Amino acid sequence: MNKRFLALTMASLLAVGGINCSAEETEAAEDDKITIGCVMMNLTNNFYVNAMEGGDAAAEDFGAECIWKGADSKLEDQVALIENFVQQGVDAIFVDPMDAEGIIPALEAANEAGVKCISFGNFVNADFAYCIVYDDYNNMYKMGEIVGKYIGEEGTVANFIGSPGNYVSDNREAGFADGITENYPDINLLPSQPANWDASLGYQQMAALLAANDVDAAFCMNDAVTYGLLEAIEASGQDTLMFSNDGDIEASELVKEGKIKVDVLTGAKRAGYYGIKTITQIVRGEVTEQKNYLPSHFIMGDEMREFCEENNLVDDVSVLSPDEAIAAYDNYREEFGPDAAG
Amino acid sequence: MMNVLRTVRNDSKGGERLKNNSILIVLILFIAVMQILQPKFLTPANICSVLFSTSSAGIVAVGAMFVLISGGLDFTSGYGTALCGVVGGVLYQATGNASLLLAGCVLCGILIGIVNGLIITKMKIQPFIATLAMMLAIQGFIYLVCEGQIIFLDDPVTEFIGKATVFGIIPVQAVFFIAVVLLGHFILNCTKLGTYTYAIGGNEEAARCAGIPIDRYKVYIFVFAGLCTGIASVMMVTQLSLVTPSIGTTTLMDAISAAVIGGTSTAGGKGTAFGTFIGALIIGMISNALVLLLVPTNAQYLVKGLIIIFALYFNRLVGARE
Repeated sequence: MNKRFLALTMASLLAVGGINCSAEETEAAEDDKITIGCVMMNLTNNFYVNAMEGGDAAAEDFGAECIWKGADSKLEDQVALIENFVQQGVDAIFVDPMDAEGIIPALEAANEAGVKCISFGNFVNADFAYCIVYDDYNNMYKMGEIVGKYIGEEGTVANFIGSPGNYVSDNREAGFADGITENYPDINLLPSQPANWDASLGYQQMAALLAANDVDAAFCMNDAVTYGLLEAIEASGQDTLMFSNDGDIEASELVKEGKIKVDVLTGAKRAGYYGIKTITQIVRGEVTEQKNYLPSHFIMGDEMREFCEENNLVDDVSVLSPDEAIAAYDNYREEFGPDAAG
Repeated sequence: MMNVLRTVRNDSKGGERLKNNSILIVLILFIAVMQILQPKFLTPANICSVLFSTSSAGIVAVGAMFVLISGGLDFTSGYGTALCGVVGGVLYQATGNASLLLAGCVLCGILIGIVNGLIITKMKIQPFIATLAMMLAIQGFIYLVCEGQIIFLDDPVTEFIGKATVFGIIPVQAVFFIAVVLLGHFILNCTKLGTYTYAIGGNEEAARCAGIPIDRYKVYIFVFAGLCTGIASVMMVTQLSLVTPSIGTTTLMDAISAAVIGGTSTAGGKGTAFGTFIGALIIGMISNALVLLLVPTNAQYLVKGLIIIFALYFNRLVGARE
């Protein structure tokens, strides 16, 4: 009886000790957890919805907690949110700035308070600021080279952009335009059409362009508008070649069908995951580079890949088949996660 | 009471006639100048393109016109078309039934109109603020419904509405647009709703004293605007054969501009369906012309704004002479 009592007492003590021990471990883990205040332009656009999903997955994998806030596409709201996050004592601020210059004073104040500042998709020109960006200019420059070569270095090319003044849109537009004009002087690059990320507006612009011009190829910087452009091309009866960017799953399917010749996989979920992962590394001192580029991949079918390889157009970029791109779209954990190679 | 109100409406309608003619002159001048600058402007392919691109914004403009005549303003039509499309698209995705897509779009539009009307009349909030708040709510709701996904449509019914033409040049979409314009004209001129719409916008207090149930008719006006939004969303999604959350979000400004260029008064009490029809054609042609003339990107907004200001000024000059 005494032995049984002793055994029970010992077991209870061990159990309580164990509980205390695991509570301390949990507390320690909580202490190590990096808190990231995320200030997006809004939280309703599908890009941000997907980026949040990827970001939360990275937070889980790399010991962080993300607090996502939308600023209703207003700089003043972004500034107010940054100030609130600094008062809350977050470790890092992750901001997709409405205005890369206008956001600097708010980030300076955050930096002085010891908060790491990282911009998303947009480069903030300040010594202390880090950024997670797409290599948009170079990717689109490469796209221009591919388009120009594929149509025989002459003809007419249309370029559909987002909205003038938007950093991402301007960067992509400049890259594509330079890729064409610097390499193919005989190509007539039509003035860019601002489709404002709206497929119906893009459709109208493409229909009008095709009514008055023979367009050999068109490039659009986002897949959602590309789908509208393809409808306008089909309605016109012209055989305009379509090139796009984003690498949505639906777009990769269209690459497979040959309706889109080349696309570029960036992917909002990948961007969100890569962004939050990199921020945890910046806060822990494992990453010190200011500009961190999200790896992207060119998506093309076999025939286009052969053409590009013959002409040495893709020697310095990653190329995926449509099926590989579809798989990669959601496999960001395999690509960037804790167990990823490299 | 109805006779008195009809007289008020007919007086304002008489005044509109010359204005309608003036906006028609603007349209003819614009076409003539464009044909000189770009001979491909009046080709069948381009006329078809203009009609295609004018139809959905034009239908929204007819609804916006009703709200403007009643002295209100509706900001929900842009994101409203996106929400209607998304609701219809989700129903189509779940069932594969194009009829449900069409019904979903139209009913969603009507529901937006009912909610707008009830917020304005029951909560006594100004239409400007109420519809602005609703626009934000709709933005959020769009992504709750479809979570950013893109839905492709593949059905003979949607193909017909979105892409078929009559006599090879007039899109079925334009036929819908003309039908909505005629419906708007009929309601404004031959029904109690039309008479009361002018009366409420002309002088709401006087209309109230005359015994018009203002709140009920305001709800009807917003329901009609919502119906137009729903029909416009059908035009958009069938034209593109796909549903995306960003579809039609740029429509709002074109629709309101079309109604105002067409002679609808932002102060309320004035406006015609015919004027809005011409206004929508002018707005559609301006957008088309900017592309045809290969106007540089950064100048497009400037040029469009200047042409709209010129059209409004010309309209005002003619109105002043009258």
